[in-house]
Amino acid sequence: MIKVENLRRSFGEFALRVDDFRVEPRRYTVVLGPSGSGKSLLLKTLAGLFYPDAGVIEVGGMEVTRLPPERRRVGLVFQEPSLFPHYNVFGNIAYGLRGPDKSKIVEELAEILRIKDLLHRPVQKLSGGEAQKVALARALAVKPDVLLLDEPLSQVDHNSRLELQGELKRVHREMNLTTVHVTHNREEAFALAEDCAVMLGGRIIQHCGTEQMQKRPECEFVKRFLGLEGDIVKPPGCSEKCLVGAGLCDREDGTDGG
Amino acid sequence: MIPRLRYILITLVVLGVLHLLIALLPEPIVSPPNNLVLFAANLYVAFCGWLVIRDGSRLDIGLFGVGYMLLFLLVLVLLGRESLFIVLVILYSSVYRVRLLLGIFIVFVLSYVVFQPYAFETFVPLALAFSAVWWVHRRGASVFVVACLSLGLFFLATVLLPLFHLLAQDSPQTLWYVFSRPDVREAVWLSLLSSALATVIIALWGIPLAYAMARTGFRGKGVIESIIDLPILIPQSVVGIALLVLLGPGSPAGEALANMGLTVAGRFAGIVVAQVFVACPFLIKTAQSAFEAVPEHLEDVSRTLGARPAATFFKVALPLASRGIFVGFILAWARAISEFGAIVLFATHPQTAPVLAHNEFLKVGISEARPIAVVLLIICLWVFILLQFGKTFLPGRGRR
Repeated sequence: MIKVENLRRSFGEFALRVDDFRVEPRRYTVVLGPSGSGKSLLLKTLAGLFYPDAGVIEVGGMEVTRLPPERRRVGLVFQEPSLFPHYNVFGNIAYGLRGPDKSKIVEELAEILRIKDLLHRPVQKLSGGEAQKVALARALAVKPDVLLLDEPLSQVDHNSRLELQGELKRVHREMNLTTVHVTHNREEAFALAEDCAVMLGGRIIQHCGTEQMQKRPECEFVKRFLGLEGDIVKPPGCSEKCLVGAGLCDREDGTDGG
Repeated sequence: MIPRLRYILITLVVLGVLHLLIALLPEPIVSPPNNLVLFAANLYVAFCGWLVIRDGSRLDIGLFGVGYMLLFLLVLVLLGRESLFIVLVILYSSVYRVRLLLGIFIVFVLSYVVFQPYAFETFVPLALAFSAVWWVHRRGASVFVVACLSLGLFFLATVLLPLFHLLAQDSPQTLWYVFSRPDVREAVWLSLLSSALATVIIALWGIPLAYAMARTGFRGKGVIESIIDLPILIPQSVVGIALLVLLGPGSPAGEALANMGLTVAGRFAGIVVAQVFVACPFLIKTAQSAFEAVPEHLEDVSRTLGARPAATFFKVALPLASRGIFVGFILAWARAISEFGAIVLFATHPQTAPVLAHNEFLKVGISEARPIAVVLLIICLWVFILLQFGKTFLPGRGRR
């Protein structure tokens, strides 16, 4: 599970400001937002690639706020091609592994992701979709507590995207791994997410189950961004959230702010 | 492939009459056997001319004639060399329809007939330059790019002319004799060894510095980058004097080192110190751009997979930058082995090869210094070429 409290981090003009963000164990959470909304920065802060200025981050019940990435037990898959070009597929998946079980683990993962016949190929000879599967296998190989996916499907062609989407769903079902998936694509989000969080201007403006999100968007921006029909249901008693959302969504498509 | 009978007959008659007239001149300008060979050669030229007429434009046909006339004027009238003319004319008509060969032929005639005393040193670079320009032109480069390349390569060939000229000066026997002299061998070994050692010493601290510079941005980074450039700017003699003042005999640091038995000035260590000073920017700067070209997110992935920063450096950054770093090695080594000014002031003994060439020149003159220079040049070129070749075995940057 993941717990983020009062997280503050500024990147020049832009500021990440997450007061309370929890991901329940084994849930598949999709963080949605337009480009520049800070969703990738949030993910990288969870991975430890940036340290927060203030706040607390817990991963798997352990406080990791000041831990370097290599001690956080998170798996990360990037949007851009990020396989190590000087290793073949096997070498990439085995990168984080040590000990005699190495090839067994790699082969098991290759079996699950159906990339067994690619194992000895140089990574330059993979298609975009295959490369992302290998990157996923590589992240899963080290048995992380949570899996962080940073727009993993955005640089893949349409057909491979649908296939990869299916793989992600299946892998999540089989491995039961807490997953945070960042994207700006709402079809992708609704196809995969058990929980949804919408970000804008460095803040999370709504976070709930996918169905609830679709039926009851809490502000105009969420409704517009997700292309929803239903009425806006402002949360009772708490106006701050709505103010944040409303304040920001008065701006055109909410793309500014970093 | 066979011309029409009419063309054959006309050619035979015209050429026959022409050569008959030449033979019957009151004071023959060519001997009868040469006249016969010339006749045969002209028949061959006529055959090639027919091929040009068949396939080429009017311009081609005209240029073919102009080329023939130029050769005629240049070789036969101006130089009066009949057999050379026969050989050249046959070559000319054979290669006329292949533009690349024609160009090399023209370069050949220019080098061996016009620039005669410098035939080798003009032919090799100009032929290479022409081939490169031709290849680029064939690959569809714009006229502007081709013009830039031609101009640049022509002047590059001119700049390198002294080197090519030097290479063509001595016989291999002389060179081998010079190379078997013990003092020459010793100097060459000393140069190779000290420059290699200097490069390794630079690598030990330069590569970490380059990595840090590539991965951080801080106030004053630009100043440090300029400081790294300083040794390129400073005149060699100034480097030598500066080193003498700091580490030479009589200076506190020099005396202290001498007391510890580590005299630097005038020793092997002094040579290495001078070479490290002049060569370090080349390795550091090249390595820095090599590290900058490694995508940072690859290192981020490595960290999330459990590798500490140092392990990430050795497993990801260093291998992926290795080709660029190796180029830095080559440049630094080349700069170190070529250093003369600082060494001649700071550490004249033992003699490195450049110092030896200089001393021989002062003692005996150009005739003795020249073969040493050539030997040094050949050895440096070989090592340079081998290193450039070795670079291809290192991992390059792939697509993902």
